[in-house]
Amino acid sequence: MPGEPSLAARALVAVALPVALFAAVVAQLTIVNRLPLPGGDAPDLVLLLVAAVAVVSTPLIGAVTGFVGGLALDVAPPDTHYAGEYALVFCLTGYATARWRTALYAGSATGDRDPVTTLTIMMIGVAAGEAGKAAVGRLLSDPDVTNAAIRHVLPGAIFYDLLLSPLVLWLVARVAGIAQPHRQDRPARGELIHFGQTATAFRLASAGATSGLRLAGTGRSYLNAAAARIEPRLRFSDGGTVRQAPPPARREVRLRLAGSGALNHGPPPRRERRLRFDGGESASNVRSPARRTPRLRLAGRGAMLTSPSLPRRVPRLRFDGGGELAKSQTAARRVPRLHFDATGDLAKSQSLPRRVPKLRLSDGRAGSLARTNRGSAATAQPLVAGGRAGKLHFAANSPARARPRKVRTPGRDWLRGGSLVRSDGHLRSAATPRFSRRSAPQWAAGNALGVRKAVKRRPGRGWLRPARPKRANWYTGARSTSWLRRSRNPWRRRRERLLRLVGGRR
Amino acid sequence: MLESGRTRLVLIILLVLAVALITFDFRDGGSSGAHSLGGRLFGPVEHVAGDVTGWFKGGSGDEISALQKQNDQLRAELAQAQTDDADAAQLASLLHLGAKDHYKVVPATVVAAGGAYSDTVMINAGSASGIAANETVLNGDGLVGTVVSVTSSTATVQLATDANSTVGVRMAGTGQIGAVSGTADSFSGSAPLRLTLFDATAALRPGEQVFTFGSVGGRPYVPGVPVGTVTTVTTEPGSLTPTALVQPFADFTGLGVVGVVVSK
Repeated sequence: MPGEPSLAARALVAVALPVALFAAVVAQLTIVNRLPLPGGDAPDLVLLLVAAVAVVSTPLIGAVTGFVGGLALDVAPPDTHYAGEYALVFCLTGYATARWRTALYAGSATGDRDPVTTLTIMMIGVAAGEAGKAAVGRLLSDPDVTNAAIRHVLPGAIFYDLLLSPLVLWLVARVAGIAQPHRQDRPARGELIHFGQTATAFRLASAGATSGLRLAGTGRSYLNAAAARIEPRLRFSDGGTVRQAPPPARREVRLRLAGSGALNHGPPPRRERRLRFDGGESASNVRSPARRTPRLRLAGRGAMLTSPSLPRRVPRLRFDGGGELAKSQTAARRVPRLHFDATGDLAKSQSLPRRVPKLRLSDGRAGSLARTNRGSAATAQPLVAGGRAGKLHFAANSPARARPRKVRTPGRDWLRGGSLVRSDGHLRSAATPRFSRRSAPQWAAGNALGVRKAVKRRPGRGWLRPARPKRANWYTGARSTSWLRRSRNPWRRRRERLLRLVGGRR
Repeated sequence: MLESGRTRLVLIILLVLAVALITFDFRDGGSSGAHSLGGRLFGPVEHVAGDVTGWFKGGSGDEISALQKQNDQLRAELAQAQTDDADAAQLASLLHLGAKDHYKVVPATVVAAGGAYSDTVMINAGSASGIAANETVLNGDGLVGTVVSVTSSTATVQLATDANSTVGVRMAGTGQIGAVSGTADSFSGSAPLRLTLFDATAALRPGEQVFTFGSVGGRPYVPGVPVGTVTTVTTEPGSLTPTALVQPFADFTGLGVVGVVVSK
């Protein structure tokens, strides 16, 4: 493969690490410690090298490098502290630094490495290592490591370490880069735009489904990609306009006055107790002037709706069609065809006869609800007996309408009652579901977004246990069988942990 | 997963190893075999590296260093002679000192220094030059320290400012005896040594000079080497022993050529 480093390069790097460690120890003791630096402090080259190596490699290499470097610094002649002190501290430093870096980049499939983040991790590791040196000396009651000495040495040493860490990291990364496979170059500008568009579309497509999906090869940092998943975006098919979440228009019903077409957001006046006739020839029979009787329309739909702020006691009666339909089958009973369109509470209307308004029928006669109900008692009886049912259909041409329907709760979706009369004035066919339970789109429903927030990956819970990868992901729908082994038996789990620790079995 | 398990296994092994090393070294008082092994491994390299850096630092340093060595030797002998002249008989009877030529000064150069917390240096002369452990190290200004460990070509010197170091001293004027110990606070520079007199009634005044009292057989300290000057008397009311801070004569931050007093 062309991207693979040659064997010579790998061997060079493998040899360079111990040599660099040895050179760092010697240089530390013979040069750096004798430099008359201001403050009397000196940086720790070995600690810097260990942290830099750890941060560009794996935890294993970091731990081993730290142990070897610390032990060399322990037993090299001029220092007289106990052998193993710095080995302990540097080993932990190298492991923890590399582990942290690995855990931080575990989620990025693109392999993007942020130099500033890497440097920050290295700096924190170096500072922790300096503190650890002091802490171990204090624990072993080294007479040289007193509180006064720590107070004097520690800030200066950390300062010099932080000063040198970019240089050391750059050197180590240069040398380590020889043995690493070559990465693809960044795409050119045009390609980048193309990839960016693809990335956007892909992100949008995967907004709800896969929050852990990463884009490989786009040159985009995963950090930026994660931000878009938190807020779902909407792409329109026509203009490509991307905007934020749509306004919650369906929560508030906008009212349109029939006459003027002006929008009325407020509730209709309390005098709106009249029954309205919807339709061409029925409208002429309306007694009230049109200004005081706005017809309710959902803005943009033209469908008849009942506003939640309307008084519930007034059922909306509608004369369907015209006189010719009324004559066809129900002429014998002389019952006008009334539709209680939404959820008018008929029972309550009956209990309050004072409020029942006058009804003007299409054939010119005046009537009342009580009379109407009396006349159609045979048909309406099951509905009234149902208690809350306020739906009264006298649909002569469709016997199915007279069948008692499922009782609808007014609180749930009584807003969405469909009209029998379509917006163009024609009657709907019987096959058309008049009450379409049309739920709001998924993305409009408040916090019920199908999008999980992007969660930052953390290292494992315990310091001994790594972050456990997911057993199954979104594209391999099958669950793994590891639940068999992860039963609740504590001894089984302990044995599993022990085996994992030894590395014998996964 | 497997990789991580192996890493943790290695980490645990290394940590246990480090703790075991600390334990063994702690039991042996910081002089276990690990240090001698490290001395054998790193000593020659540091020797060469220190010589190289010293060569870069000193330029044509051969002649100068030779003269410095000679000067140090003369000063050491002079200090000893002055001590002997002061009260030779008393000292001789007290310390069972032999003749002046009982001692010989081996010159050496500091090639490496210890870490931030320890006041130790390494010199480029070892057992091949006749240096052994517990021998006095001095330079042209005064007492430097004592040899704590030695390899064939290098020796590790514990400076007098190290917190582990305690030197028996004698006041120049009054002849009071006491001890000077390091304070592990040599970085602040001013007074890295603390003097404690054994006589509760002795008076301490700033400006008095302190010399080494000497040990049996001249180990670890030969008598009569100037140590420093009393700067601050820190005796507290009611304390049993008078104490003071001592400014050493030798400049411990810029040690170059030192001499090791070896017994013939």
